Amino acid sequence: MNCDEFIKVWAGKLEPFAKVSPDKLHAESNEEAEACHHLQECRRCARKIDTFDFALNLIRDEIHKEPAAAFWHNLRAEIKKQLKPAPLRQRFFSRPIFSRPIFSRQWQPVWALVPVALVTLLLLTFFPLNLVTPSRPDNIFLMSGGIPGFEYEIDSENNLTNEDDANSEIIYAAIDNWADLLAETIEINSNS
Amino acid sequence: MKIRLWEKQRNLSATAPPPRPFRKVWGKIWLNSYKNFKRSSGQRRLGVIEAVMSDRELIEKFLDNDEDAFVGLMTKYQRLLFHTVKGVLLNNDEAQEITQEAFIRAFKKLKHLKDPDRFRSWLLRIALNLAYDRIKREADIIEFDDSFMSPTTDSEEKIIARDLAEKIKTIIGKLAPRQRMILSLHLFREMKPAEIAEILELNPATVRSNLHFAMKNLKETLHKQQVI
Repeated sequence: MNCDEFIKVWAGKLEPFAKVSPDKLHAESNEEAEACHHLQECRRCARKIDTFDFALNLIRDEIHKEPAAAFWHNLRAEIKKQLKPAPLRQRFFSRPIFSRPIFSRQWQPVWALVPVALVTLLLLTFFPLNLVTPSRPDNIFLMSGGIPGFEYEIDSENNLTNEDDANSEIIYAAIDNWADLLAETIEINSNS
Repeated sequence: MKIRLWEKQRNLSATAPPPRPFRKVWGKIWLNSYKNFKRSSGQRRLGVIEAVMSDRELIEKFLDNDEDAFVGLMTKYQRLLFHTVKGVLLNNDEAQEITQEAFIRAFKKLKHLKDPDRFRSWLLRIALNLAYDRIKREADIIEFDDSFMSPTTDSEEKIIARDLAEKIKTIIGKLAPRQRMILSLHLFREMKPAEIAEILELNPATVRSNLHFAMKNLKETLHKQQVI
């Protein structure tokens, strides 16, 4: 096999000859086996193939060269920008409230807390919360002999209508002032 | 008129829910804002959790608007995509553009991806289709970077190899778009024909024949030009 014939055989090969094992080569066509023998004998052809592989490696190295460090950061930022508003946009309530220093001049969500705090303070000043004391009912009845939680019916003159409630008695009704109720209770207790 | 006698105060209060401890509520609010601050400061690196997560998990998280998953997917595939496209186009700027475009397309269509485990092939296919369109549309316009093969003062052997590399690039640039793409993936990204066939959704036999003709074309042209 001469050099031209070798090049023709080599041109059709996808893998370099060096990567083909001798066993596999024996199993393949005579032409490839001859090419392999030619490669072992002909230094010129061997050098050509080495140069070709070397050139390919140069291109590979160039391809795999890392771009500038800022490239990946810019790429990510650009893609993020392009994908706005969905699905990467943060929801309002999950936005960071301390994304900048607190005293920077640029707007930041934490500033929104200031008017909210002022309004809350004003409201608390004029309408203090009274969470412990339950609201007062319109009519208050002081009763003796009643069962707690039980419902009683009364007439317009504040008397119990049910005859079964003979043991129960409305002592005092329709009191607007808690102090009066307290005084009345004390008076009843002292009399009894 | 009906009246109901008051029950004891402690019985009433027993049915009401217990008040939430102050420390617990405000502690949680503070913790969330602190987490957001750390995230927005840009100093947060990809965590181990995102790095070891499978594509399926990352995609599910991404579709739930999780920004960490976006970073995870980008970090996992940005280099692969960029280098593959660069290998086909042999041009830095073009590769950057195509990589960006491919990621944007992929993220926009991610919810339509049927099998998240094949995300890698799907992403590469998007990028290579874009590169293919670019080659087809602007076959005469695309020029290889001058800076792509940076000149160095090396041995004579290296200088010869660099000249040869330039010629290889020129010949590959003149091949038919499909052959060029397949040959580039094989030569420069060292992909097997079966892998190329899977990514480009082509018949493996078609890939193999295209590869064979492209390789033969390249080597014979070099021989005719008496380069080798």
